[in-house]
Amino acid sequence: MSIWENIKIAVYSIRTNMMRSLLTMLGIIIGVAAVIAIITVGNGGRDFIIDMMSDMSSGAVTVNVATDAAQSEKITSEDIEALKNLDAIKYATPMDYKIGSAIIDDEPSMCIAISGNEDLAKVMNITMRRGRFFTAEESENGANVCIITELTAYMVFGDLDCIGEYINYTLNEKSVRLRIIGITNTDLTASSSSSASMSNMMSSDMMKNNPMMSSGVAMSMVITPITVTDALGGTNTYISLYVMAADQEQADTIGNVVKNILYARHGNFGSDTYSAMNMENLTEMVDKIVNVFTTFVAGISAIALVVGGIGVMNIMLVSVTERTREIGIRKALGAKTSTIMFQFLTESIILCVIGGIVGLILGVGMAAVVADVAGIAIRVEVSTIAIAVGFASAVGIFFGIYPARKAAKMLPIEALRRD
Amino acid sequence: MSLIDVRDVYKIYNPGENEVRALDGVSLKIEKGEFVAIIGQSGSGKSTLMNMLGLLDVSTSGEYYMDGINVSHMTDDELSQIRNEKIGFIFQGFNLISSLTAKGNVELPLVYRGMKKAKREELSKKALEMVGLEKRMYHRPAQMSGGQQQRVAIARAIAAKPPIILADEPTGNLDSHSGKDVMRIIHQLHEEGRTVILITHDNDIAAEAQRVIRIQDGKIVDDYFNK
Repeated sequence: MSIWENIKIAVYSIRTNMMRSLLTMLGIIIGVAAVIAIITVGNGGRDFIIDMMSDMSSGAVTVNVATDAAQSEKITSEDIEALKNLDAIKYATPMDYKIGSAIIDDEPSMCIAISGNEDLAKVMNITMRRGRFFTAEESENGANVCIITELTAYMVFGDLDCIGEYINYTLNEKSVRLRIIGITNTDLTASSSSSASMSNMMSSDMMKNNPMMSSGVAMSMVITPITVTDALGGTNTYISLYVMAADQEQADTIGNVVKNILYARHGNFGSDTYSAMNMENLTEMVDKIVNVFTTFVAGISAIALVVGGIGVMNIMLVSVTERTREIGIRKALGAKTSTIMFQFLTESIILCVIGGIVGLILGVGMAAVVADVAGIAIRVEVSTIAIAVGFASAVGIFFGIYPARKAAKMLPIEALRRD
Repeated sequence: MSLIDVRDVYKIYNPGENEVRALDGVSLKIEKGEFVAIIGQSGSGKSTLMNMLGLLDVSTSGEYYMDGINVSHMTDDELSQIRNEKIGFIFQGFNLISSLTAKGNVELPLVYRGMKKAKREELSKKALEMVGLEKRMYHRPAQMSGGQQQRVAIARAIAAKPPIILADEPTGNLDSHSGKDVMRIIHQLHEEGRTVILITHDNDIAAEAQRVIRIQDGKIVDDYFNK
């Protein structure tokens, strides 16, 4: 009795009980679809988050000050200078986010200002579409210049011909006229939303006091020298800095070096004031979070699969009982125990594999819809497909064995006697 | 050496109190090429004997030699193989598989013998021709009359050319006309040299056999040759 013969018998039997077979497969389909959708969306989400964060150059390290730090513990421009003087550090810049308001081309908008020194372009991997980044002199002297994002340029001016135009930027009820010197095509939303300083900003009363926030007005995004922000009533201290090691391999070490220098300069050794994070740390962290989430939900879906498997077992048992006589006839005509067992096992495996494939397609479809709504790209991996089909077959074999054995072990005469 | 040699076989249900002796010390020999009718009333044990002879059931005690080989202690799979190679069954209730066509049913024993498709088709076609159903090859049992179904079952029994044909009340569910057809085919099988064992409660049918074994309360009470 060839395998092909067996598969033909199994397919035939599945087809003659189409409705029942479909209902049986439903459990497997839902289980597999859920697992696939979760894993695929999880992968996509992970890619999205990491991509979002990756406008921080690899090799760059961000050092943050704890939110409960005293004013004297925050990072000063002298700290930055000291760091810059180290050979091991190539770039160092404070990193500051402020949400103010701006009037650009007579259009009012909420304005997120990212500021730092001239090294900001390097550590954040900022590339210029038009114009230029500000220079060290401009940064030192507090020149009233800014770089705007491409999106802002299109939103406010409608085109990119706005170099030399002015922005009226207001922060802390003080205003300054900033000359646009460049347009960047780097998406900065990522760094602003993932930054610790951003969350600090969000909780500040500036948010509540800013009438622009609630009215849903356009949001513009500018980059200014840190000295401009300082002049607008900043405290000249910062809670975030970016450094880049001269040797990219040293990203891990350089984080600790910077921390130790800060502790030494502020005399607060032993406290947990400063924390360093590099791209690798971030990726690891995101991976951990996404994995915990994915595993959790995939675990729940696995329960659905087991329930589906029990459904398959149930149906196979019914099928064995229904076809007891057929089994008796087959055995009387010379079918061996293994032949009968293989026949029923083939049937349950086929049910599960078809269910698995349908579930796979459905799961990827579901993931695509979810991803589309969430604005992320899905990533289907070969391993995901292997897991789905493998799992479905495993369920088929595991839950098919008992009914198949039950069918195969019957004495022919006992099977024949039943109607 | 007899084709079938059964020695002191017992089949006892519910041993102990209330025990039922379906076969109570049966011994018999059947030679190659014989046409034997086993006759008895319902409950006499004739069906149990037939199941035992057909290796569909195992005895409580006693020995069974088929072609000189002791088959009393064989495994399930070994018995399957012997049934497949040596015995063709014709049941009262036909026992066709309803989801298969006539041809599919006839091919089943050949499939279990591991025969190639082309060979199977040749043999099943020949068998169906012999029972006069070559035009019903692709009909399912439900599309055929009882007589036709029994003829499919006969075709199935003979397709693999087993030496022994075991027929359990083959005409029991048929009208007299179809019954005659079936009996004619059975005679033909015997004439071709097969050993035919026919179980029946009908004296007229038993009269058509060469030899009659009468069974009652699990014991052989009579064993004679028709003239």
